[in-house]
Amino acid sequence: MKKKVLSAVVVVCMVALVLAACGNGGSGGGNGAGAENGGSGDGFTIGATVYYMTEFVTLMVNGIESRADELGMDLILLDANNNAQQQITQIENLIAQEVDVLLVAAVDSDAIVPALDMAEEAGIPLVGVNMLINTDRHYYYVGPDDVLAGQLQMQAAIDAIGGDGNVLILEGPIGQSAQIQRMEGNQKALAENPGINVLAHQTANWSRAEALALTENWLEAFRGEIDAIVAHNDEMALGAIQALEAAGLIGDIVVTGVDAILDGCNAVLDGTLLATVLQDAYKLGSLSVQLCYDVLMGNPPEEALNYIDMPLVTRDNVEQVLSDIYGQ
Amino acid sequence: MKTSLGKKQVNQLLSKYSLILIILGIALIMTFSTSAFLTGTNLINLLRQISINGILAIGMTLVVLTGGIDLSVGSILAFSGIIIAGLLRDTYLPIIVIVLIAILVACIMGALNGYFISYWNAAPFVVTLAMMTIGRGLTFVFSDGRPISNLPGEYLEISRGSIIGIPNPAWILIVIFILGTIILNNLKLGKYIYAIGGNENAALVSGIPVKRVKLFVYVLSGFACGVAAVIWTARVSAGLPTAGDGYELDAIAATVIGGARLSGGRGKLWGTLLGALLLGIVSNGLDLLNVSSFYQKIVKGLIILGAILIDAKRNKKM
Repeated sequence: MKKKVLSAVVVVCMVALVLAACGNGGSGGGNGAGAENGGSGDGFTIGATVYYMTEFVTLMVNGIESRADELGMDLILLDANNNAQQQITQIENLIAQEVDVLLVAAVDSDAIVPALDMAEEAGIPLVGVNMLINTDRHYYYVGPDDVLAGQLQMQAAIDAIGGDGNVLILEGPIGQSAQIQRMEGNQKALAENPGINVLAHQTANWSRAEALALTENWLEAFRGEIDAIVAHNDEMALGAIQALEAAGLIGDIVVTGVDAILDGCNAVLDGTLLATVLQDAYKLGSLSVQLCYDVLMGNPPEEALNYIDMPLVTRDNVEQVLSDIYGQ
Repeated sequence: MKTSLGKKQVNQLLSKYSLILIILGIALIMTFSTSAFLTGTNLINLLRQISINGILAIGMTLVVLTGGIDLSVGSILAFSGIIIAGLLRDTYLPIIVIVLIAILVACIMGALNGYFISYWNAAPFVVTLAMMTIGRGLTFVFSDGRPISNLPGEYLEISRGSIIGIPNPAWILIVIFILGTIILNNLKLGKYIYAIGGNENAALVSGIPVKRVKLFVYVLSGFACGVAAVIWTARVSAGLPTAGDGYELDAIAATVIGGARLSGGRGKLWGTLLGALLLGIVSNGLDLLNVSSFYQKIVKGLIILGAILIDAKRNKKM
């Protein structure tokens, strides 16, 4: 009887493994076919690790996959589950597989620094995407200009309320590079507009639900004083909008976000969200693979750190964005 | 008659060594699936990769043997890690002193767990859940929510260095394992731990200092967290407020896969070590095979489920 259970367990494990391996084999085949079509990738393999499969990262990964396919490069893609230590583990595992280039969207800008040493030791170039690495050393990077995004979203809110009034800031998780840089951008715009007073700023951890609760509390605490809410991403902006809707304050208080996710764009179209900043994840993924390719082919860009455009999305151009990015 | 006896023995052996067989089986599959698995570098990577969970799981096993549970290990790890990184940044204390301070703090947090659990008779699940939240909060307070980085190179050697080819973290795991084994097999404390998990009232009646022993196992679990934090912080070269999030689940998983009974009284440290090895091999191998993390989660869950099923079957027999 024990033996039966034991063999059942072994079989389950094996089946799971084989299934997983097959799934992998399938995608590998797809890459192989790409190599035949593209023919220029010289059989390069990209070893990529991303911090977590959020909606944004999933879009970015789509861009990574399709560009790798076009260039005929193979791709090994791992998800670090927001665990900095696991990401280091994955870098070790990718190096053990002798990939040609490491593509890293870091869980944490500081904790990824040892990966630079490992890559150097192994003689494999490391390319950063979306999350800057906190180092003075030379590495290639492509990512969003979050300082600019923070500045644009704050300026849009300030312009809408006529240059003076009270704002609230919904921050990303404290310490993440996107939060730090968007806040820096917010402050740049604030420095140019002394008439603006920041009533409070707090994190809602990128979460719609947390932002909703926080905004509800703020609406009580600062009753009648609030002119604008600036959220570091669209999810939180949408949470704030829900709180405003419940309180019947839509139109009295303006809200801005970042990311231009589909829901965010629709909210701009409705007029509930004043503005958001487009962060084209698919394009970012695609550019990051191009950067890997250029580095491997020996013609990297002049600048080590490259930033993609971050256009402001308002009612004037939101329909364009919806059709370009989301095909609507 | 003779053959059936042989069969029975084979079954017993299979059951006893099932974990080793499963590990060997999976290692075999990995070896055939990818040439990157059975290489010196990868095996050394693997040792380094299982060390943190292995150490936490050994502490967890001691707690589980008394019928308790420790959900606060990830938070204690994070807090100790922040202390290490902060002291390395802000003071000129020798590294060994900093490490000892961090481990001491972890032991104190464990002692608080143990105090409320044994002297206030509070449920371990709830007390350590509270400590999990408090520890995480303290970590954010002390770090201001930001990573503490740029740690000195000598400190990073704790994780990067190796002695006769075996990485330091693996050596530390081995030492912790030996210490744990001595406690369980050679000291009176070990007998007490098993006795309390088997039947707490009986243990009390037979004069075992139940409260003190229970307090002490949580100190030991805290100690393991402190040691794991030393490696963790060196490995990523930073103290992170989010470090160790969810690690309690991996430590419990390794303990359960290793054959320990969650209600206490039964379990072996080498089983736990094999449990950590199994989880490590699976995650390492699936990374090498480029399996999406979505599937990895399913495989991990199936392995935990499989371990519990074997256990349930075994209990029925007994």
